[in-house]
Amino acid sequence: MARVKYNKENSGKIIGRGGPRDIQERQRLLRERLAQQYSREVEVETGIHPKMVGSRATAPREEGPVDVSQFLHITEVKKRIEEAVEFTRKSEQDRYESGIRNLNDQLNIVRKERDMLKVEIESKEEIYNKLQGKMDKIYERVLDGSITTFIGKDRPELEDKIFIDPIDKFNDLDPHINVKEEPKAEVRDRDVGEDVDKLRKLLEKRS
Amino acid sequence: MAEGSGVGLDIGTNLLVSAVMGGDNNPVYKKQRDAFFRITPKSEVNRKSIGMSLESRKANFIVDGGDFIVVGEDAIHMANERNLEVLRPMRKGVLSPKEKSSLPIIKLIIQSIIGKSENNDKLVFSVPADPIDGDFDVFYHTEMMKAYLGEMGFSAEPLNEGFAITFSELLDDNLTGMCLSFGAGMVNAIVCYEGDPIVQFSLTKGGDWIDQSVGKALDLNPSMIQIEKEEVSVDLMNPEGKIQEAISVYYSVLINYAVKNIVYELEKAKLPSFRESIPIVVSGGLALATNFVEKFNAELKNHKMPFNVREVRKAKDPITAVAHGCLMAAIL
Repeated sequence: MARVKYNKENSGKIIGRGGPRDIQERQRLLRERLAQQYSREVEVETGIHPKMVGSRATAPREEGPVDVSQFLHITEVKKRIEEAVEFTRKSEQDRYESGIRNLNDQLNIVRKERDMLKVEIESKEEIYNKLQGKMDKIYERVLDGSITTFIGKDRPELEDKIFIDPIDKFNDLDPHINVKEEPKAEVRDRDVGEDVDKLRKLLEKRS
Repeated sequence: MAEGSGVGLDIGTNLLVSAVMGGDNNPVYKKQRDAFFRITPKSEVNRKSIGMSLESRKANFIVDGGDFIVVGEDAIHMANERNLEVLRPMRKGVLSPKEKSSLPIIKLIIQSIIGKSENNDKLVFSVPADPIDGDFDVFYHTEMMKAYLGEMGFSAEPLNEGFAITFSELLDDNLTGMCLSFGAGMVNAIVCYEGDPIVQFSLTKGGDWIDQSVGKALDLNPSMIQIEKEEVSVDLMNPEGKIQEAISVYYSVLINYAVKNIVYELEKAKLPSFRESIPIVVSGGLALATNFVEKFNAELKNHKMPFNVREVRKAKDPITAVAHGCLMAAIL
């Protein structure tokens, strides 16, 4: 792609990199980097034989008879593989077994703690229920009046009910008041003597 | 001077009523408003003319230096003529230490209806129950009355106002029932079972509250409302005119307030289970209004009482019931 040369000298200012040309430039660089990545050598990091380490591109492509003297015999390879597998299996088994033992120990500790807590809760619940029962009984007795407040019953009380007559004197008042009796009822419907006798009998009956 | 061996005295916020036993066992009552109105003459000539005017209208008054203190019914009328408010020595059923200047007046008014005793006669006077909607108690009032009545030569004892009505009105009901006194300053309530007072309390609203409320609603002087209420005899079920309608409305509000509080207090109290239905007796000045019992019954239907109500009836005489009960207690 043809590029137009930009002649202006660099003034030292920091130029923004967010324009369309900059974005295009970044996209181009990204494409190039990806293309390079695909063409890179592929390395085989592990293998039985050192020769197996190499790249596809540079791997020797020998033609003719292959010298196998430098390789182990297939039975020995098989044996070593089995030994390695067995070693790995055993070490993994030991590791897991030890982990399981450790977890079991932890579980047992938690179970013990849980059992202790359960016993503690049960005993507290028992105490709570007993107290609740007692409180209910007391409350019922307060309600039915068989228990009355006793706190402070015989405690000394402040004798603050004192009467002081606020009037100093009023001798200079001269009353001219004459109140007449209410007119008596034409039909007598009340006899004070009879009423008092009735009242006396009722009160005597009560006592 | 007391005529019989005892004196009953109802000390109400608006009215004082005394009772003694007459020669024929008939009760003899005397009443006086505990209200007063002070007139200060502007000159000596003015003072003489006011004095003559008071004498000619046979008004009860007290001379205090150069001033005239008109007392009782005349005080209410004279205050109303001048569109002024009458003064009261008592508020909400009790004497107030704050009304110091009016205390000598009530002492003289009381003396004017019971006289003085030469023989230390027994006198029982009414006191309200402790209020459930006010932050005062009746101790000061009771002690002051005892002291004043003692000064007049009586051996004075207080009696709960509701209990006095029980003595007067529940003799044929084995002293079992509920008594309510709708007075000017308070509503007093008591429930008695075979002579034992089980629940007793008072409410600090009454006739004065109605007068104030109607006066405020219609922009009128409360003294005028009081006269309208008492002298015209308002029919609570069929009020005529704006003032009577307003009075009827506030009666309903007061009865509703009283009944609701009565139900509340009775539910709180441990009442014995009444074997039979019991009567309710209404008394006091407010009970004089026409159809008061009907209005009370109508309100009662909206509430569930903790006992069966046999009947609601008016006291034989709502004005003298308390004094009569006090007299019976004094003779007893």
